[in-house]
Amino acid sequence: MTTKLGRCLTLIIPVVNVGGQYNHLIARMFTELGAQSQLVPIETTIEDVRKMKADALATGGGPQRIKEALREGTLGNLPNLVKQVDIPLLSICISHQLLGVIYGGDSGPALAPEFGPVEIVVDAEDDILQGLGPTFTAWGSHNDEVVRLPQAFIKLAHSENCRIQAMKHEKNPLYGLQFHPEVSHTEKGRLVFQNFLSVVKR
Amino acid sequence: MMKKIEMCISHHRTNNKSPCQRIVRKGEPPLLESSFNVEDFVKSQVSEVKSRVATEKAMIAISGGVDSTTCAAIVHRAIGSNLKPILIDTGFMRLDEPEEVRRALSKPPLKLRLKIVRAKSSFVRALDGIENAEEKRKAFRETMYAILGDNARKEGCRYLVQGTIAPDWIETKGGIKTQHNVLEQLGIKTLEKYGFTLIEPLVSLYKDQVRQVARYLKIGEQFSERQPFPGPGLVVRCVGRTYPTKLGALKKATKMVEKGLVDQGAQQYFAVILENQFEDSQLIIRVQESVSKFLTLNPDEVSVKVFGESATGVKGDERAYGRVTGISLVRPIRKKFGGDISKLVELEAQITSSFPQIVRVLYMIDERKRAAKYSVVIRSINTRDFMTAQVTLLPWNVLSRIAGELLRTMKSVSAVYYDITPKPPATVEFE
Repeated sequence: MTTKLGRCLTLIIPVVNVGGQYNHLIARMFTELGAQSQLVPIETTIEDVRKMKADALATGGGPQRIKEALREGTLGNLPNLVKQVDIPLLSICISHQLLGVIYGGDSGPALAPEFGPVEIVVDAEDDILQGLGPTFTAWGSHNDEVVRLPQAFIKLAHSENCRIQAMKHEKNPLYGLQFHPEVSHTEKGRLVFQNFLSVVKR
Repeated sequence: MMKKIEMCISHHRTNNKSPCQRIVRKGEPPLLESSFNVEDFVKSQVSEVKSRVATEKAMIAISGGVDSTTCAAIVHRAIGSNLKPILIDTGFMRLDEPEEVRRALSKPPLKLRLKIVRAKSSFVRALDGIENAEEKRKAFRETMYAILGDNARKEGCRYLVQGTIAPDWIETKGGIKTQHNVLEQLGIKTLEKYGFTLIEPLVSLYKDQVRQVARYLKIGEQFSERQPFPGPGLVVRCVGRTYPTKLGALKKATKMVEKGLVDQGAQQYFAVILENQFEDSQLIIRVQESVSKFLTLNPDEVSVKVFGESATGVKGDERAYGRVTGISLVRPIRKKFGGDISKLVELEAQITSSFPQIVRVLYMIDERKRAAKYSVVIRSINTRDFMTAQVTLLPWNVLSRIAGELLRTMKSVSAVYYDITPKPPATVEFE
């Protein structure tokens, strides 16, 4: 019975493919940690997510500049999905910027774009960055960043050249990460996913 | 708790497929949905190939790399001698490589008889005068598949097997670079265009998973642990225009660099060749200032060159095709800074962040006074899956020994650099 239960409790976490190079690695990371995960298109709706019986949702990076993409409507259904999502959300890179804009913050060109290794300073070792403080090396690849934190959000980490490397909603399980925890060169990237899974199981 | 159990029971009752699978976008192979099991993977691929090909013949395009060789082993299990292995000698392979691959494949456990098709002149013609990296890649692809199509027809093969893996189509579809072996995923109809149907058993795997399969199939360390070699071969390391003397010099340099770095723990290491033609650019002074400030040197201890030929990078998930810069410190301090590659990578990060047009930063290891036609770049990286890559922290004496040998034995080379750019913002290969 316990083994059956164990198998039945496999978490289902679709990953919205926003077009970036590492989106597949997010799904790979979740599956390696025992969840069921797969890429879904950027047109995915909240109804699709409900039909999948998803326990959580992740959204990846992409080549777009967020404000331009919002103006031109090139993000498919992603803006709606992010507004409507009622399960834990992990958004990475430009999805993190989208989350920021949708919740009333702002996104714009970075002070200095980051490509490759970046030292992340943890400001709050809150649930998702549990065990990653005081600093760790992550890999980034971004031209834009969240330049103003949305009101209901808390900053969790920054780097020398990026003001908001990680943030979370103060009440709901909504997370944004500018760096890429899914690439193998990010130290303890796996731990970020494990922390997220703990949030999902809560 | 109750909700989850109910949900799972209904899910398991309906089918074994992931609920997400139903809306995977057409043309994108689904990646594996649960943790990777090598034995199951091989079994399922063997039976799928068996049922698709049945009693017909299939041709496999072999390069001698881990992907195509692993693919050959899987398909050989499925259809035996109906598999026809072929290697197209493009002229852009390494010295003696086609013959070496044929010999290695003929030995147990593979025991495959490889047909080599000499097609050097077709490729030289197709690439003649082309400088742009993407145009080179596309010209290479068209030539390659036209020849494969002809040969498949001659041998009566309706199927072409190839070792395309996940990063190939991810990079191609993401617009980073056109990998030559990505066709269907771009909507190219191979049956109409070249006369064969494609079979790609490894299309959902990453490199580290392919190596797991290769070890499981016991195809030999020579293949399973072999460092990757790009599909278009030396085309993408002969930066800019390709022509016989430049290619010849690159082949020689490749041999020396591979030999010199074989035991340094890197996943990929090779030589690249660039022409010594430089831009007289505004960038030079600004980069020079940036370098001297970062390393706290006098500006006259630093010189900067901007190469005329462009290279490929990836910045913020977007293709970046731009400038290659070489940094040269005066001789007495070159070794001191060259001994700390980590610090040089930090310098690189600052340069590629401040100057959007720069995608690669090279650090001069050694040079000769007399001007010559080419510069050679040593590239060496560490990576798990080739999606990101770190610059190998090579000891200075290893780098300077290889540079010394290159300068001593090759009169056409006047400078040797080490590439200090991770991926991102560079890609592993130059083009």
